[in-house]
Amino acid sequence: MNFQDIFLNLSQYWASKGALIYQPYNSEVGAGTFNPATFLKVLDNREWNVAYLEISKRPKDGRYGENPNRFQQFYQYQVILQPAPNDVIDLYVKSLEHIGIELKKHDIRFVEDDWESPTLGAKGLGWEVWLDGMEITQFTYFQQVGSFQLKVIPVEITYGLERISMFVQKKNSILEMKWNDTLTWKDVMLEQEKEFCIFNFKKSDPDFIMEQFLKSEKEVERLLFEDLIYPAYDYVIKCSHFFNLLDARGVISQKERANYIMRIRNLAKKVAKKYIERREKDEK
Amino acid sequence: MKNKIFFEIGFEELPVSALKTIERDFPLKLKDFLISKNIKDFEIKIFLTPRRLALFLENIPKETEKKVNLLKGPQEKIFYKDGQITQLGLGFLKSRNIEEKDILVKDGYIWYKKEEEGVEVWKIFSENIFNIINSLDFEKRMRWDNSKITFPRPIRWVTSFFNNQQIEINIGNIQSGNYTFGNRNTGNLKIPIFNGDDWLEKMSENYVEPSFEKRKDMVIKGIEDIVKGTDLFLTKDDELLEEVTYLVEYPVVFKGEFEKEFLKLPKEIIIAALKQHQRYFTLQNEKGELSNFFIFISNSPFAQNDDIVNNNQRIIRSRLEDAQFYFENDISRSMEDYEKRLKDTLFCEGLGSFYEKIERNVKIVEYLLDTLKLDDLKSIDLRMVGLVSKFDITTDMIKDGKEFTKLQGIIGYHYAKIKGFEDDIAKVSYEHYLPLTALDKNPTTKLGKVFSIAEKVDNIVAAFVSGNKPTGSKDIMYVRRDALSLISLLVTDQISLSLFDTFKFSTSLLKGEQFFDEIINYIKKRVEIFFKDYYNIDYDVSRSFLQNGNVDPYDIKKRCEKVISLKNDENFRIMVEGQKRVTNILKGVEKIEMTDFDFDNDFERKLFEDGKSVSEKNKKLFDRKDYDCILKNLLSLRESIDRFFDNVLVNDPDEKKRRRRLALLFFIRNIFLEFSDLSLIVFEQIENKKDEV
Repeated sequence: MNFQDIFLNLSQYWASKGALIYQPYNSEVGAGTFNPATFLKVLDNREWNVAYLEISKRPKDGRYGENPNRFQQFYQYQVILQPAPNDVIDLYVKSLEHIGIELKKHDIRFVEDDWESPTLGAKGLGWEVWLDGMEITQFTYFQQVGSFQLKVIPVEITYGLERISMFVQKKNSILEMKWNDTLTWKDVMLEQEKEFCIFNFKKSDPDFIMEQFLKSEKEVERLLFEDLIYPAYDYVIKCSHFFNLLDARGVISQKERANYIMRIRNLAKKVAKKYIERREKDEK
Repeated sequence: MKNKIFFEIGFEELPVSALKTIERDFPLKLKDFLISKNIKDFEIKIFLTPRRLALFLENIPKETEKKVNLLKGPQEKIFYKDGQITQLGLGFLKSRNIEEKDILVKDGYIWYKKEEEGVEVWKIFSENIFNIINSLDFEKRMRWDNSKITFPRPIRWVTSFFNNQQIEINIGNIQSGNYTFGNRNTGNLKIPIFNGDDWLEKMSENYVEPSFEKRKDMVIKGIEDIVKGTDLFLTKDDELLEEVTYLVEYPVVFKGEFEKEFLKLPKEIIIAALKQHQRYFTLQNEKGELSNFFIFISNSPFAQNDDIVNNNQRIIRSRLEDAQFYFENDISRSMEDYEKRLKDTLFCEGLGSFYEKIERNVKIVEYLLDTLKLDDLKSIDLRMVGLVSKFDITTDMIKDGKEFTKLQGIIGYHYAKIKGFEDDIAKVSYEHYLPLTALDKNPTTKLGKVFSIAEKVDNIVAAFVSGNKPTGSKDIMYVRRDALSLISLLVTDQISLSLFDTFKFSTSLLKGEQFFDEIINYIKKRVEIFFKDYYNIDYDVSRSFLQNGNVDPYDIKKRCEKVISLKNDENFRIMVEGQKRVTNILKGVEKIEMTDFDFDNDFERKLFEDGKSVSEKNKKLFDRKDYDCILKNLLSLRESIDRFFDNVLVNDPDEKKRRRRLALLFFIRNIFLEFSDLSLIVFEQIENKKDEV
């Protein structure tokens, strides 16, 4: 099964289960959770079933395409089911069969991993799903998002698509992974991946990025004052990305990281608060 | 009596910690509950897997025994008046549906018997079983639906039988049924069951071994079968064995292999990759060397051997490749490169880079070598040792942010050895972080110790100067931990060092003089807490030694021990009272130096002369830290102090006399303060007596 078939099949599968098929977000995000279709929508406390591909940028994780499981940009398939259905694990397991994983031949394991996004003030309990020892999915019952406890509990299923694809295709190297019948990941992505690694680790301009971080931070406050929640949230996302770039560049110490993360979390919280207030007003 | 209850609660995969809590506490709680309901001689069997807790409760009665309870009624004087039952009394009898003959008068009250009917055991069980389970002390809980129930993971089914009869139990939104589920890896089939014995059969048919002990044996046996006849030995690891047994319902053991070339990596790296992340067992050869074979446990009875082994091998290979990628990049860099990286890496906003942090650490180390007279270390290139101690934080291995990050310090050690540094210098890389907590392992080398002290002192000062001082709820720079470790190192390693002077030096390096008072007060507080928590030394005792600028934890501990040994001594008590008197008189008085020696009475003169002589004698004794003699000398002042107070009026109307006498008391108080501020010592009995009056 080709790489593209995996995300196409997942979309088909989840659409057949009633999920809305959304699309990736337009700013750089570290995970599908950042997409407003997750971060803001789960704060609604209403039924919301959605599935989408997300382009996740994690500058620090780049390996110049040399490591099969580490990339500075990779694809996630994100599913949010709110409220979480009782048979959600079965639904998930069946989705794997739709992308070519014959379960009886493999060891599927739910290994405790309480997911947390300190920058988004989001937390949940759940697992990493292991397929023959490899993490292929993060499976989380959200308890808190934007530093607010959720009333209606959603489940978040995040598939790591490259890993799953390599597994299905039995490839040892990402380079050989078939995207479609004629092109491999190497053909499509390698040049870009390498250049971004050089940029992230060596050639980005920390002063320039820092300036953008600080300005974006102020922009969130300004936009919130104007009651523009979505644009404000967009700048929270940008702050997070600028922080990731600085982090990859090695200019933030271990001890300082916590402080930056706290700053972004506080911004995310302000956005969430405003969003919740607006929804409450709607109901009145 | 031959009844039994079967109960199973099914959940989504529970974390190992939650399973351990159930294993440890559930049987006891259940037992206590049954006994409280007057049920005896029962047998409990527990089965626990990641997906289910099952219970067989055997040899139980159908109903609980009838019970007669003696209950308390109204007071006798309300119930009877002049030997007659009052209106209120009659109302009571009616309301309880009893007659006068049924009551008993005792201790001024009316008592009556009430029979409690036996209750069907299944009913008691069904009403209480989940409360018992849910009263366990789980580390973390979650919600998963709109019921109010919280549990470590979602609960998905319940089934229970009294003999062959299904019991109804409701847990949140879930109602008990007559079915269970099999191993997830064999299709998670919904399986009907008829009773407990049937459940046991269905479990084994569906690849679930519910017994923890049997699963553990399957793992051990599986591993033995694999190593038998080879020259490999399992690296024994009971904790890992327990963990993997709790991760599976049906263990199948496999052997995997990674390329031998990875063995060139430091052992700790390979073990971190195999064990910490993947929960694989490592194997070793006869010489105890790590093998490139490993053991893993799967939960999948049907899995095809080749596929599952290949896939697991692919994972570990990618992790080791990751490690190797880091390793090669890391060791190819020169110390000059690392110096540059350290200069580029921010230590803390406003306080510069890690390189500057290292420079400060080194300056503190130089200060310590002088103060502690460690002249033999002075010839070492301390700047280079400083670089060695920290350079690994800029290595790719540590910046990885995943399982290898925990190897900070260890990685520095290995890399430094590869780069040809001597063992003692390389060791500073991990030793300067020690002890990690109070009473943890201390550094073993002198170099490690001084770098450890410097690291912690500078961290603490940096936190205050950068506005990150610890508050009740926040301590992002781990000041509390650093302070405790620092004090612990000095005390347990018997290093006598004035933290007052050391912090004075350290704050000057960061131009943080204005924070000094706040920092040293924080440290004093930590010293008190440390002594209380780890040596049970009361706050008043340790505090009495922290008043005179002497913040030398090891020395304070010795002094505290002396004072504690004297706390029941009458002479000592009187001396402390005397000190309290002196302190009270001097409260709010500006310090007066002794200039006037025209004493007009023998009591003043005697106190001054005795004081002078004790002060001179003690000066020498302090150098030798002979606290026994010092205390003895101080105690010898008791009489002349008492007589002074008994015969001399300090606040004399004559200004000259008053000033002279106050100056004398300041002089005496200072002699005591050299040792400690004894006026802070609290004698509980005496304080209590005052309260009673």
